[in-house]
Amino acid sequence: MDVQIIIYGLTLGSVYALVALGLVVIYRATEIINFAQGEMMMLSAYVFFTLSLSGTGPFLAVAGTLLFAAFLGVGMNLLVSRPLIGKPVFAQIMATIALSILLRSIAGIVWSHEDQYIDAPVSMILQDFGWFKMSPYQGLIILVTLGLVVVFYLFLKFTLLGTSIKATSEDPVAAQLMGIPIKRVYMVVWIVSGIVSAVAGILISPQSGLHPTIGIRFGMKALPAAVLGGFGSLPGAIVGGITLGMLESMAIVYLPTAVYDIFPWVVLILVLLIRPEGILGVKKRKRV
Amino acid sequence: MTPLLEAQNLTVHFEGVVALNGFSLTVNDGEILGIIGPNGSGKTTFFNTISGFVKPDKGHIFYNQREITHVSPHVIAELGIARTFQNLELFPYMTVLQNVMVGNHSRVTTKDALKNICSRDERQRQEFQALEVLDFLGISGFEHSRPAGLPFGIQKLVELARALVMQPELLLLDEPAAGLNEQETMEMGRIIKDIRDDLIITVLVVEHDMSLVMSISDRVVVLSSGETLTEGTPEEVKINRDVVEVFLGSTY
Repeated sequence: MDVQIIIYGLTLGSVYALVALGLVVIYRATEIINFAQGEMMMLSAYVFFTLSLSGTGPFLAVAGTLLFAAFLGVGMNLLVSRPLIGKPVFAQIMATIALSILLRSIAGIVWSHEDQYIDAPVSMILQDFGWFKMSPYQGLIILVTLGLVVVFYLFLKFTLLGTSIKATSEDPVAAQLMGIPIKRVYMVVWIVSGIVSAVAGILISPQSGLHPTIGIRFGMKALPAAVLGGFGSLPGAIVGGITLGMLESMAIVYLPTAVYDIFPWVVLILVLLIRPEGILGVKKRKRV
Repeated sequence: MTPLLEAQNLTVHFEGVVALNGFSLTVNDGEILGIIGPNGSGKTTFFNTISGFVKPDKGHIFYNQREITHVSPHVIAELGIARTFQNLELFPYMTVLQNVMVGNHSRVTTKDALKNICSRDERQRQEFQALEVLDFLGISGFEHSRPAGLPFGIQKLVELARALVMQPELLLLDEPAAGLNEQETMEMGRIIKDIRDDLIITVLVVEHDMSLVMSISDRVVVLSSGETLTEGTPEEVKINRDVVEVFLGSTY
């Protein structure tokens, strides 16, 4: 296989992995599947775009976007998550789908439905490294994703808050009785999810361009990615994201253009048919 | 004796069904108090009300003279009330040791938490403490197993260990003998007595197994339809006609 396919797949997969991570961390803690996860990414990408254009400089633009994403997470927690926790799954799904449509429309009203473009912070021109070619931009996406995944792992493994998140996601009743304030945990989880999605949005927008639908076109692929990795598993979100990126990268080369955009959804159906628990997921046993 | 917990006139309704009907109870510091009663008499509802999961329609609960009726469950845990469940509530994807170490949570302040990240000593201290509790309950050696693969009796003790690591003042045990065989039940009785005598923890126990309740409790309260039927020493309760009637029917 061409090395370039792998590099492109890694780049694309990194973004999918980040959004999938945001999706799964919320699902683990609250059992809500947030169909507006892609829109959280899209909104942050627009905020980054606006801040960049206002001439604040790249660092302030990133910081401002992450701050916005944190507030977006707080808002989602209070207005969406809190009323939906424990409600029927159907209600949760309909509510978050409705929210995704609402956020897309708002983005269209604020930033227009025209395609807009943003320059990458580093060069997007492929550089020759001998046996492979890679642009600094692709390198940045892969490195930032890797860094974020490591930070995330250390956070979950070694901090008290990380343990609280794990405990809350496994058994919220017992977690409360151990002195864990689960409402605060939900808040943190939404903030983390917002920030991770924002990073994905900042990284992908120079390549994808900006349009209210990038949430669906890129962000929503977090869903098949998460299912592929094993829905509910955090390492699964990463593995699923990267795998999906690789598969799509191959599909772009080997399949006709009309087909490759539906490819992730074909993967989703195949995984659900053949191995519903995904790559790293565990078969769920029902307690009787 | 000073009262550690006082429940006054608790009334709890669930969609028209009365679970507790003006129920009052005092738990004295240092005692083992048993609550018995037929299914649906309100025993678990009472525990859930103390833990803060069920808010009573009427009545008050005081713990160490502080009203805790409308306090959140995690704050109640921090105040020193730990509990176990009728159906186990262990964290399925954590090891036994990790499960038990979550019990540290209620006592760790933000400052301790920061120390925890930086210092390996602090983590080791917490781990040592968790291992000590496992040893106290006689289940050393299981610390790296996942709970699901262990015998039910051991899982019950893991849940108990998690509650003990919280170093509570008051321990609520919801049917500790449910699902245990006769020998395990006797062992559980001995452990509950050790918890009170060696760790100086007041114990409130809800149980169906009469032999266990009667052998360990200093006092027994009999609940029926959300109200106190009678209370007294195990000997007094055993010979009470009303109790015999509630449990065995009026023909006995």
